[in-house]
Amino acid sequence: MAVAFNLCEGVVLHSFCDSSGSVFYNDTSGDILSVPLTVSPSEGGRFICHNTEGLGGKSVITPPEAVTNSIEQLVKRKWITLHNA
Amino acid sequence: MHEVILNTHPFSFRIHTNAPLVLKNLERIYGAERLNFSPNSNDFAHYNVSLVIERKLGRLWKPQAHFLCDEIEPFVPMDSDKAYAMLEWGLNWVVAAHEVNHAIVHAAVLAKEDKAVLLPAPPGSGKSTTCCAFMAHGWRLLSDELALITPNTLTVTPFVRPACLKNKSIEVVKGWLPNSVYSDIARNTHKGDVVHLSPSEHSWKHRYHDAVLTTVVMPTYNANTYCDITPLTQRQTFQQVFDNCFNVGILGQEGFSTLSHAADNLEGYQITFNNADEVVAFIEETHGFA
Repeated sequence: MAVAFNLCEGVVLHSFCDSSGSVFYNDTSGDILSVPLTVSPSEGGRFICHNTEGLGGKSVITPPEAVTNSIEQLVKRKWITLHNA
Repeated sequence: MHEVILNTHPFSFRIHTNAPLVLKNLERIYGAERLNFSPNSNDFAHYNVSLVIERKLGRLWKPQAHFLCDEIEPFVPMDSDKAYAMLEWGLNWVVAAHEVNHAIVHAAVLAKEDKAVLLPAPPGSGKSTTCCAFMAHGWRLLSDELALITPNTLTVTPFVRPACLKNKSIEVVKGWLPNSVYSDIARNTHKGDVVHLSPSEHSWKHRYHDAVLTTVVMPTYNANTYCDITPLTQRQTFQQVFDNCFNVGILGQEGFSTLSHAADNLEGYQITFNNADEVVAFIEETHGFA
């Protein structure tokens, strides 16, 4: 699953290098949204893909519904705008 | 009213108090070399605080201790026999509420040489007890309560202050560190019975020496679990450090990038235990501290 988006003003993100996910930070409110998605830079926005999260030595693949829910939450909070949405 | 300056790197406090209990315990815990009992108005202190005992109508049977910082009284008064514990909590509040040159995490920090472990945890999790177990194994204490992280680095500045022990942990730690210096006990506080432990001489000696974080341990005491260790992902480590950071909202993006940089570069573990020695042994053996 790949979705391209733009970050809204005042929102920054960080993707963890162990591919466990990403965290979005709203500099205005001081809130974060921690999501089990790996976000990589790409032209015209960002690219979101499945990731694996190591937990207790096991790898857990993030289920598609968790990806969808995380994206919906980000859009609902107006932290990102999806391309072609 | 007495006036004394407490010099604790990197902050100093000008303390006004009329409580003999406070003066006695300050001298016992910090030692005369870190206290100036006769300051003049030109002697610098970062913060001005007061711990004042007052007897008011309606509370005739027990005088009350009030903590103030620049006319602000952040806590409800306590019975005067808890005055010293209240001062220590007050000094923590002052730094957590005002310091902006560091990312401040509610965490203990301990180090061997210049490599440090961060123990972020909410109150009651066993953080201070674990902290004392590390000290009993020769680690130096950088802080029991407030980790001062230089923005966008893994460097921690020591803020050496006493460790706050509660209830059953008091006797446990006295068994590990029988020759250490302890404050008078403050009974029946909102945290239970409380004693402050003066850090080891090794900790005081290296109080000007920064250390570099390598590991994050989320300690949770559980009487029924010997030692259960779960590695954390970087995202989970970030969440724990973020949840325990006092001033990330004030530092803004700098605070966010500091914590995410830390999560990217530190090994994180959730450790549930009833044997703190095992926690220390695990960290020493697996992270090159031995």
